[in-house]
Amino acid sequence: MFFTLQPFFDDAMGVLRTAGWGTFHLDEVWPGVTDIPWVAFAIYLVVLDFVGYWIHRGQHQFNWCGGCIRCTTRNAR
Amino acid sequence: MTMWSDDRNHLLDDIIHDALIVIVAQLIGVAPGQFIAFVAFTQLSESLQHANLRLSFGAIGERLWISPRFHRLHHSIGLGHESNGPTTLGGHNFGVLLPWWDMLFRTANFDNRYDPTGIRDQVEPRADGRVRDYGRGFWAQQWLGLKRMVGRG
Repeated sequence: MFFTLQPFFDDAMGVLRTAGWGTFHLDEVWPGVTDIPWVAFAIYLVVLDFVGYWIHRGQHQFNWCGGCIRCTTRNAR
Repeated sequence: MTMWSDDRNHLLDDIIHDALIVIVAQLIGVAPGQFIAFVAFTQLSESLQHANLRLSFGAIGERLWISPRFHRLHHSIGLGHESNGPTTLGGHNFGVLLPWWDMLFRTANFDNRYDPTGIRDQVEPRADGRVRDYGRGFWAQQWLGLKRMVGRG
C-alpha cells in the first residue's frame, strides 16, 4: 500500500509546493509554545484524531454497497 | 476479535482513509517525523483496542484514552454498528484514539458490558437459512467488495 501510493503522493505534493501551496504549519501559530516538539505533536494528534473520528463515522453512515435494489433482489431469490 | 482485527479492512477502504489523513496532515503542516510517530501511536493503540481482552481503563481513564472495552462495544452486534435497530446504519464509539469526539457528538457508550462481537449478517441466517456470502479467501473478499459497490455482487 505504502510503496504503491508513495510516488503518486510525492509527485502531487511536489507540484502543489511548486505552485506555492502548502506553507501553513499549525505548530507555528504561537511561537515558543506550539512549536515545542511534544506540544506540536499533541496538537497534531488531536486534529488528526478528530478527522479519524469523522472518517470512521462516514464509513458507517452511508451504504457504500449492498444497499441497492439489484443485490437485494438477487440475494432474496 | 483479535489484535489483528484492526488490519482487516478492504484495500479500497484503506486507500481512501489513508489518502484523507495524508491530505489533512499536509494541509496543517505535520512534520514528517511526527507523522510517523502519529501512525505508530495509532497502530499500537488500535492493536490494543482490538485485542480479545475485557479491559476497561476505569471511570476517568475511559474518558481520556480509548480502551479495549470502549472499542469492543463498537464491534458489538447491534449497539456497535446500528443506531435504529437491526440492519440500520450508525452505531457507537467511532473514536480512534480519543473518546472526546464520541462524547461531544453523543455517540459514546460507556456501559461496562461485553456483548458478542461480529457482523450481523455474517452470523445470523436470513430467511433462506443461510448467512450472507462474504467470499472465501483474501482476493475473493476484495473482489466481492468491489462488485457489490457497483451493484453486481
